[in-house]
Amino acid sequence: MKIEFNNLQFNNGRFSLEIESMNLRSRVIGILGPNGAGKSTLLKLIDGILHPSKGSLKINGYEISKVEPRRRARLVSYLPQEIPNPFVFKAIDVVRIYGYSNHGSDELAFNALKSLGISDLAFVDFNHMSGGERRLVMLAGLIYQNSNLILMDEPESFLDIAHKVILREAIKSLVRDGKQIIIVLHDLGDLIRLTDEIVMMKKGRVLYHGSTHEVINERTLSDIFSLPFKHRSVTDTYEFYPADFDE
Amino acid sequence: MSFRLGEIKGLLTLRISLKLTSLIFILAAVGFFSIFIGPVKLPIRSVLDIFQYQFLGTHPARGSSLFLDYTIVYYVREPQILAAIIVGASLGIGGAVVQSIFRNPITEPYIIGISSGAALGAVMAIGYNILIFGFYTVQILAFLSSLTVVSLIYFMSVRRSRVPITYFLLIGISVSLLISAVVAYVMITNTRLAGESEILSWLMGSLQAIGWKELIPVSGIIAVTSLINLSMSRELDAIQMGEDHASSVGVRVELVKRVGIISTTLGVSAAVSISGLIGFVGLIMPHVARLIFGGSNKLVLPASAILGAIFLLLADDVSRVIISQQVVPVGIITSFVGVPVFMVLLRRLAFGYYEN
Repeated sequence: MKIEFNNLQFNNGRFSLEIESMNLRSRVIGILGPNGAGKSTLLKLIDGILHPSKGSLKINGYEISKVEPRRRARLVSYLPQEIPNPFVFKAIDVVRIYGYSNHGSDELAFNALKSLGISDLAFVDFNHMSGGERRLVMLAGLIYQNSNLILMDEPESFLDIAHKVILREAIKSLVRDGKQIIIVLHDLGDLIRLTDEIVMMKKGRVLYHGSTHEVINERTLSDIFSLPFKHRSVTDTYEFYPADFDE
Repeated sequence: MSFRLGEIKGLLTLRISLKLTSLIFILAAVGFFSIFIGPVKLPIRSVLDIFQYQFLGTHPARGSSLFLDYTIVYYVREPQILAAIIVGASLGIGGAVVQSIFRNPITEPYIIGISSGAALGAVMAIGYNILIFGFYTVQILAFLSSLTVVSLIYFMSVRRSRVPITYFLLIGISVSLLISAVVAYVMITNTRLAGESEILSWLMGSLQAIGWKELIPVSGIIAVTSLINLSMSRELDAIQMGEDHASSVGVRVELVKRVGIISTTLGVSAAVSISGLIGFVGLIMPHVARLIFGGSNKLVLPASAILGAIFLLLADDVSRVIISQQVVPVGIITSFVGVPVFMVLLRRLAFGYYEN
């Protein structure tokens, strides 16, 4: 899908974001920037739950903030950074909520949990799970929501190594299924491995945008994080990966 | 996993429908049992004969000797039982809706201004002997005043065409306090209200002396608003996950909040207009429902209504017999039972979902 920004401005009195002109079309798009750069705001604008103050943001030609909410939810879904705290939902109740727009069955909701290997959590109280488990349950919700474009805001936070492997595999399998993903990540290694296209942001502006290998370098990183970066080959150090990861 | 969803779901659905059905049976049983509770003892034979007359239309053989018992059943006990059911149900379901909208387990419908508004209307009507609506002035003024105060709080809370819930709660609490001060002022300065038990029993909540004429319209309002609330269970589930979340999955959050608050205000104000301020039903019943059925509002909403009806019926039975020759306002009983129950629940909540 094509995501087009045209003189987009967002201002809520505390924070302002401006994107003059930008088109996103790769399969997996990464967003990188320091805290407060506007990454979450950008995702919420693309999700249509925040509305631009000026200008336009179109997905496949539709002005996303004007699309009827249920139709919008079939087009875009969003995994927020914060983990919600409902009263007493079981995991399956949480997953079911994501099916609001598509009338999916309980069977499909359960299968979404199963596809992440966490079907044993289906009837566990959501609030009694670890942060990582809750994030995976929400990811199962996104799989169940089954939109074409999926937005993820720092999905790796709270995840242990095993859960990170599940997340990466899930992302790969979503891409195989033809989904488009926009992801905010702080782990540079993962960002380089997973994404084809990168948007680098600082203070509500896009400073660099292009293909991952083109855009990520010492100069751009130093620039947006105001910190000297040095590229170095890692062949002489030890790294550990789960055996089935990275082929 | 070795189990299949179908099997689990089948078992769960069976268990849940068994629980819901048994709740309805308990409600029916408590309702029937309540006919016999009160200062006048009714023989079971008479009650059955009266039912035969009421529901089948056939005249029992010993018709005339039943006249006194019939009067008690039809004009006193039955309206009181129906009132307990609809008021309890309205408070229970209203509590569940408000707690979901505010994502806060310690809120109840009264908090958005319903109780202080209704109290203001009732105190004015009784204190200044206002009779513009004739015999029903107290009820109608309480109802209208409650709607006015909630609307005032609602419109004061609008920010950028949205109603942020924290604003709404804080403005609701502070405006309610202000209006309670006005109510207290009127009660102290108005000589008509000095030592008057009518206003006291209204403020504590009572189901005494409610007639069919006010019951029928109030039942209608409560039935319609409860159906509206029941129809929003999925949206309310989503809102519990947070407003951004709900909006992202396709819920029109502001619309659902508005409809939920309007229908709850109408339903609970209608209930309060005939019963006065019965406490704790709206706060506690949704929690009991969640303990039995889990969090999904599809079950929590109807279960809160049925549990509220059962609880209020039982409390009303107690209020009729606890002191001989005198009826205690039922609100005193619900508070006496409600406070300890809530303390136990709070301890449970403290180790469960409310610790964060």
